[in-house]
Amino acid sequence: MAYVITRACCNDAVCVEVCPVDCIHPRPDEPGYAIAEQLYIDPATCIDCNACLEVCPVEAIHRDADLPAALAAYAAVNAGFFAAEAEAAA
Amino acid sequence: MRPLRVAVVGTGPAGAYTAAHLLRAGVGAELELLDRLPTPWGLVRAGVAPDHQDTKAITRSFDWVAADPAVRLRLDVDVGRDVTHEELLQCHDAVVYAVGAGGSRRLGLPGEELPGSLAATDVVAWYNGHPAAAGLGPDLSHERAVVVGNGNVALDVARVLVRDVEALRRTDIADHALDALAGSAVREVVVLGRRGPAQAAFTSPELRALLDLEEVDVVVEPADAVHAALDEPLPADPARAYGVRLKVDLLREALGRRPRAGRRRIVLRFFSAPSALVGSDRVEGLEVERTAVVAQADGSTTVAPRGVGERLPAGLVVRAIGYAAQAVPGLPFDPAAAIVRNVAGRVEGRPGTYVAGWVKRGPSGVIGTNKRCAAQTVRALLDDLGGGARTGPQGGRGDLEELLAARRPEAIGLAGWRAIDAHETTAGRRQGRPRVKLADLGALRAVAAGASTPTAQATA
Amino acid sequence: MERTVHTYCRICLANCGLEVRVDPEANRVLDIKPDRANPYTWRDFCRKGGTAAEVVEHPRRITRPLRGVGDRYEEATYEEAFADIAARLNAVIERHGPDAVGSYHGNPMGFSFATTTFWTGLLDAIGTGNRFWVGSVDQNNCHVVAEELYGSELVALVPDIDDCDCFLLVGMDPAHSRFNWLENNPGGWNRVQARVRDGADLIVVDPRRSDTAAKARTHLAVVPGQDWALLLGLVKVVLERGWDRPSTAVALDGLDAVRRLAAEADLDDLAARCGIERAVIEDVAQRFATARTAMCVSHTGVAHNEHGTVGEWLSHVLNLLCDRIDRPGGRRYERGYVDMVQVMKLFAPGAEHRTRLRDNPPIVGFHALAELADEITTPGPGQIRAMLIAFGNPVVSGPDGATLDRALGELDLLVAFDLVQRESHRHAHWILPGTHWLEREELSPLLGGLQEQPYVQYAAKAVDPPDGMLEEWAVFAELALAMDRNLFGKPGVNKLLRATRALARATRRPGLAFNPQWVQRLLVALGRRLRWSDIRDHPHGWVYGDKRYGDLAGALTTPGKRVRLAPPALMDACREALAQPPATDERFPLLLINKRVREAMNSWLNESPGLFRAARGNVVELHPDDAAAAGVADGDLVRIVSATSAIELRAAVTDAMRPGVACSPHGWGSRVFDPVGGREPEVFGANRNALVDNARLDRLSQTPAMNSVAVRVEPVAAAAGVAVGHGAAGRAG
Repeated sequence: MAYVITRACCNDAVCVEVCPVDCIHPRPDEPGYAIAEQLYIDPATCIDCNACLEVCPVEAIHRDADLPAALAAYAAVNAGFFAAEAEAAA
Repeated sequence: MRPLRVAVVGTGPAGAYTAAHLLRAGVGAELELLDRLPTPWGLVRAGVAPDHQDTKAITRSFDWVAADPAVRLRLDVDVGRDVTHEELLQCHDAVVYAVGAGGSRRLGLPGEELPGSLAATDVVAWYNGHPAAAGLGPDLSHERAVVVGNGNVALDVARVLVRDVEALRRTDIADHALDALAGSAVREVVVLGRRGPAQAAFTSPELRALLDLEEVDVVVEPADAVHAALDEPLPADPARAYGVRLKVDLLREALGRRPRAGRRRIVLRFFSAPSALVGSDRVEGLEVERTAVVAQADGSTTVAPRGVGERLPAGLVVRAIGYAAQAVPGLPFDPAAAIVRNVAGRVEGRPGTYVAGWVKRGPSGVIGTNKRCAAQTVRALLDDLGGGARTGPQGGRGDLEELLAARRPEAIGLAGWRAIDAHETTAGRRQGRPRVKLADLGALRAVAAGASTPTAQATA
Repeated sequence: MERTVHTYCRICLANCGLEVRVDPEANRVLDIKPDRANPYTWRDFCRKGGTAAEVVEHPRRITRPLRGVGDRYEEATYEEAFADIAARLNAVIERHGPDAVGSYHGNPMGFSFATTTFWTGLLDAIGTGNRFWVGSVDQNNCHVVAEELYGSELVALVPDIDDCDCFLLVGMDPAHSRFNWLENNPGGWNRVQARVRDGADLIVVDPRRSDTAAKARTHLAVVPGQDWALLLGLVKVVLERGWDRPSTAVALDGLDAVRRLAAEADLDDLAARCGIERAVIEDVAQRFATARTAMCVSHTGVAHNEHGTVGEWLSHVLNLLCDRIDRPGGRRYERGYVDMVQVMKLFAPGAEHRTRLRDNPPIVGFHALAELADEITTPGPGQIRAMLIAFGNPVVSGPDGATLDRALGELDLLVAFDLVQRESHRHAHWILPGTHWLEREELSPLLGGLQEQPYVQYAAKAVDPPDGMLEEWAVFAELALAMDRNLFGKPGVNKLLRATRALARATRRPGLAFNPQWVQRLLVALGRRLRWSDIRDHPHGWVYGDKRYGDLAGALTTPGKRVRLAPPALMDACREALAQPPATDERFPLLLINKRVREAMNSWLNESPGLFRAARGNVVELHPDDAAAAGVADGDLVRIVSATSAIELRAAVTDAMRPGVACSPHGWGSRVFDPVGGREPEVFGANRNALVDNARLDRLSQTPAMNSVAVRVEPVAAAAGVAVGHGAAGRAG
């Protein structure tokens, strides 16, 4: 289980500020933020606390179990960001 | 301690975030939010596409900023005409310009001046009900339109031009645009990109949303060149590579699609550059050349024409190659970068004057990018003035109000904006839409005036 | 050099396992993460735990005893503090008797068994019966019901989530509270949602469409304070339709009496009171009663009302009538690893004391905070003249804070124990520093009975307290010694303390000096279920057995070991409620409720820089119709007025509210002073509890009706709302 950031994300990043486990990237203080298409949640770290969903000003965040069908692809989009990062680091 | 008085000129995301950061700093800021238009929130209202209502929800947090007891909203006030920069400095510790990028870049091609050739910024303003663009009336009588450019704005324009009108009818698209689109003959929008898919500026979420549209076919051309490009290595910069990878995957999938009969279509045509707009007394089409992307020694790429051209008949050519900031009278401007000269938000050689958003860093990024940008400006401002070291302006809020009462008595405050907002959303509810926008300055002013005067709002 | 410490968070009862990285040389916490190796609890980890070190390193933290001198404070030694405080307490006791010394302690103390036991030791040394605590503003109703039904105030019934097919959640928002209150269900809310995905029913009763209610199959937007009427309606329907299946886990007395009571009530009247349609009540009753397994759980939304104890009782009745107690998927009794009944006999002997003015008995050994102000200000024998406040902020936690604040200002002696000087400590003559839980190690055996599974974790310490600081149990012991009054009020205890200390010094073995671990080890040994060394061998925590069902029957201490379904006190109170028409007051047309906020823990973390990053402070939520009627728009500053007081907050207009209901969370508007540095106090938000009447109580639990406060909302003139310096609004008028 994890939460997923979807299309409407506008990189406001208030979600980053409330996440207890720092699982939302790139953070505004990270180099990738300026060119990030959107922010992503690392499903391996997310603890399903719902804090990000509550503060998202554009309702871009969903619990994966509740993802609307039209946004289903974003679960893989979020996870893929971290897989790509791990690949790049390896 | 005396409050820190700041005037924020422009209420788009950069201005609103600047105000929000100042309020959160806990320094006792007293803010004036000024905007040329009778409505606030800049491109959230006038730029974000009407079928992206979720994104527009950001304005709720901006409305909270406007309702903060320390904030006064002063709309329909033109800084430079109604009140000068010097006059603002006389009654504020600091003035922050967050006026965005009101202009658009030009193609510099023959025929660009022909009727039927429009800037995307104007088309976007038109369908979003910006009062200045209400009379734009783009020609939708030809079955093909061409959008030149490969950013998200290009995709927005293309999508709005071919979307099912019934879908748009559930949005806050301007009524005049809805009427025009209902009678539109446009069946195909060609989106021209000079470079390949890897270089396209649009983002994968926007591309994905486009590909997910039931009522529109998306065609990717030229198939051979795109196929070849999709197999090329991803950019070395991992932050950029991920978005490119997503776009490549999406385009690969799109290449495999078969057009469906009767669907309108968007053609994403890469490796194609216009060389001229043609037509006798209006646009009838444009000359398009095939290009090749050539890697440079330093890793960057340039575009080389391949000498193969064709004429693409079209009744409407929209150039979506970027917004451009315009000079702010009295402030140093860098015309090449199209920004006000500044260091971390401090305007060069103008103490007490700051910039945030596109006029500071150029027209790039998404809404939230302005939050970080505004935070940097506010940090600079507070470093300069926040510690109580400020000498302070001669005047205060009362002086500004006196000045506006004399020069701009019809200025609209929070109550006026709320009246407009209520008027629009009430009308929207009746039609099952988020809002029905007023696109006429006179109508906006009349609704606002029905609520109360700005002075009454300030003291009620 | 760094070290990783595994411990658990002691801010809320979720007790999340933590992985704390520390720099031992610098004695600093580097970071705090959930301990994913904890077998039981870490999934509710939140920023409160993640930023806990900010409190350890609080810029205004008190690290030395502070003596009030005029309007400022001076550092003093412990010796000076103990000598002066002891002398002044003794003088008060000698002149006015032990009851002239009052005490109050707050929620943080509950997470330290050592602090709690030695606090009792000190109060017993003093001999006062005027002991007040925070439980009297929230959980007393649970203790009253437990005592009446099961014979012991400390019986807690833990939800058994994973086997439940029908959740009826009343007055709780586990999306924020993480399903913990007087019980801990780790990851409970997410497990409820998993059950719902698998087909379980979820019915949420809340005047507000909370994040929990938004996920419910049925959300019952009840009228605040009227949950009892809804629950009685459910009981009535269940009984009259013959859907009851009396408990197979315990024997019941009083079923007929409950039947009679239910028959007396009129379902339409109950429906009108609670604002839920009769047909909906009937439907929910059927779903609850006929589900394979089910649980009704009621939390603070029910407790903080005039009929909060009746409401809690009826939720137990409903569970007992449908065989939902101590059964799979219902509410289970977890016996823990110490003998709770024995523990209670040891540490909370049934006190006979009654309050001087309102003649109320204590509940779990303590009187109600609502009575404290009057007990201080009303002259006469037994008047409180000195107060000890430990890890508490009663001015903000309790009703009508302004009155209590004035009362505290009249005391001859006010001693506060805490990490920082809070709102309730502003009149303190002495402030004694407190340790942070990251600086303490201990076992808290009482928590064992509140766990969903048999679970224990020894709380390791991550860092040492600041140099020279004493742990609170030692402070309390020193005070008893300085007063020359026997700790725990038992002859010989002080002598033992001194003798063991001398032995420890002589042998250079500090462990030989009497300390709280002796008590903890003794309790574990007496419990005869676990071995101390085994507990210590599980640094990540230990699930030491399987869930058991059926232990409640053996734990009952009622006559004949039968559950008293219809205790006269509750039957009478319920009939009283039925006879009393719902009160309305035209001047105050809205009912103010409270809510849980994940990042908030009452009043004590509001200034933490890492918390409330999205928005710091509270607001008042209003339904659009109520906002329009008051002439208020979203974001406006409003004045909230009750018969008791008025506060100002910004309004958030949302259709999540039931019309006629306003909502604002508590804990805000509490100043944090800077007694050493002298900087301006920090304060965020406004104290909504100030609006609460300290006389309108649930008679049985003595709890104020904090969740149904009659208020009105008025717009505040914009210019007047500019809270900045002189001349701000200047000539705007």
